[in-house]
Amino acid sequence: MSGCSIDTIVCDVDVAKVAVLGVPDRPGIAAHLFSALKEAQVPVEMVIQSVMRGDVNDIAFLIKDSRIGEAIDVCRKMPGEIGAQGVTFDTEICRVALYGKGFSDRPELLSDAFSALAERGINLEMIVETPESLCCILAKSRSEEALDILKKRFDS
Amino acid sequence: MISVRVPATSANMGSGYDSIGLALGFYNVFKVKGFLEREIYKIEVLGEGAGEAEKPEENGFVLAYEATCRRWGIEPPGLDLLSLNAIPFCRGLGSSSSAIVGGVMVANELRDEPLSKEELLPLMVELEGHPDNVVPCCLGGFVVSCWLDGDLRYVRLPCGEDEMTAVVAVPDVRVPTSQARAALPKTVPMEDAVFNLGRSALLAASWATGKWENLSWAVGDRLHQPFRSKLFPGGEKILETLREIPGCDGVAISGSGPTMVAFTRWSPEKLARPMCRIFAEAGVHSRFFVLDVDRYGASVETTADFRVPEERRCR
Repeated sequence: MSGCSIDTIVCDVDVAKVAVLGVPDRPGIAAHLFSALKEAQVPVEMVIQSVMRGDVNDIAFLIKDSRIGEAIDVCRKMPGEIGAQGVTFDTEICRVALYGKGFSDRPELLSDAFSALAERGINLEMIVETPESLCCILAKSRSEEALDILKKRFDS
Repeated sequence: MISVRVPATSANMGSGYDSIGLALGFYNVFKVKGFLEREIYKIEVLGEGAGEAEKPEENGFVLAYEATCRRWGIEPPGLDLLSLNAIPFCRGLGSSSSAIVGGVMVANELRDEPLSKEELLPLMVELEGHPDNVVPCCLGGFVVSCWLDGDLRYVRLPCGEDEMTAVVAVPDVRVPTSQARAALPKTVPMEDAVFNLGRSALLAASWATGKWENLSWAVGDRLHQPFRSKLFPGGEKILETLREIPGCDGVAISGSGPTMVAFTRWSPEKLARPMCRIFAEAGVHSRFFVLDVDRYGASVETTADFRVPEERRCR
C-alpha cells in the first residue's frame, strides 16, 4: 500500500486472555485485582475495561501463556472477593500486532486491517490501538492466515 | 431494586442423568428496577444472550415470573428488568434454569409472606421439567434429586466443596436441548441401565464421603454421553483423552452439552489446556472457567428504599 507507515507485522502466540465479568463499579476494585496479580508476579498487558453496563464492568487483559496457572489461582477468587460474576480464560488465542507511526492520524490503516481480516471471516476478540501500534487478539488457529493476509495487504 | 444472583449449574455429571447436578461459582444477576403496568416490560440484556432475550415472550425470566404470579392468582405487574448474564446461552450450564429460578424468586417478593427457597422448588422444577439443574441452582452444592408427578425428593450433599475444582470448557457452538434429547435412544439395554445405576450411586456416595479416588470411575455413563458427544466437534475425544490425564478426577458432558466439565484437586490448567486444544483441533474456539462449587445457591437482595406498590402485592 503506497504511503503506508507500517514497519512490521508480528504474531505472538505466547499470550492468554483473562476476562473478569460483571465487576461492580466501585473505586478500588481494579486495584484489588491487579495488586493480587502483582503479588503473584503475573505481568499484565492490554488491560481493557469496557463501557459501564448497569453499574458493572468487564475487565479483560492479556498475560503470558506460561503464567496461566498463577493467573488462575488469583483470578478464580474474584467472584468471592470483589463480587464479580465470573472469570473466563482463553489460551487458544494469539496477538497480531502492526507497528508503525501515526496510527492515530491514519484511520484508513485500521479500516484496511479490519477489512482484510473480516474478508476471511477472522473474528477479533480484543483490539487496542496506540499511536505506534495496532494489536488484534484472535484465535490461535487463524494466526498464520491472519499474518499472511495483513502482510500482503500492507506489503510488509 | 430487587436483585437476584443465580449460579450456573452442571447437570448429569456423567452417570447421574437427569438426577444429579452441581452449582458452580459464576452467576447471572437479574435486577428489577421497578414494577410497571401489566404487560409492560422494559428489558435490557447485557452479556450472554444480548439481542436474543429482550422480548418478554422469549425471555425465560419473564415467562417464569408470569407463570408464578398466575399460579398464585394474580395478574403479574410488568417489570423494568436489567439482566446481567455471564452464564453462556444454550451450552449446558443451566442458563435457562437460572432464568427460571430468578423469575420465581422475584415473583416471590410480591407475596406478603414470601415462601422459602425449599417451598419454591416444586414450582421451579415444574417450569423447567426436570430437577437436576434448578435444585442445585436454587440451593447450591451437589444435589441428587428425583421428580415424579409433581412430587420432588432431593438431598443436598454437604461435603467436598472446598476440595474439588470444576474446569469448564465452553466451545463457540450450540447444541439445542431438543436436539440433545432427540439423539437419545428410546430404550436402553438392561446392562447399560445397571452400569449407570451402580456408577451414579457410587458418584453420590463418593462425593458425600470425599472418596475422590472413585470419581473418575463413578462419572462413567452409557445412557446419554455416547450419543451426545457426537453432536459437537471434539466431544468424544475430550472424554477419551481427559480420562488418561494424571490428576483428572473425572470428565463429563455438562448438561446436554456442548460444554465439557472436568474435575481436579490439582492444577486446573493441566485439564483446561487439552480440552481447549482438542476443541481448537476440531475447528471450534473455546474458553474455560475454573470454578469452585457454589455453596449457597440463588440469593435475593432488596434495597432498603424499594417497596412493592401495595396494589401490586400478592396476598
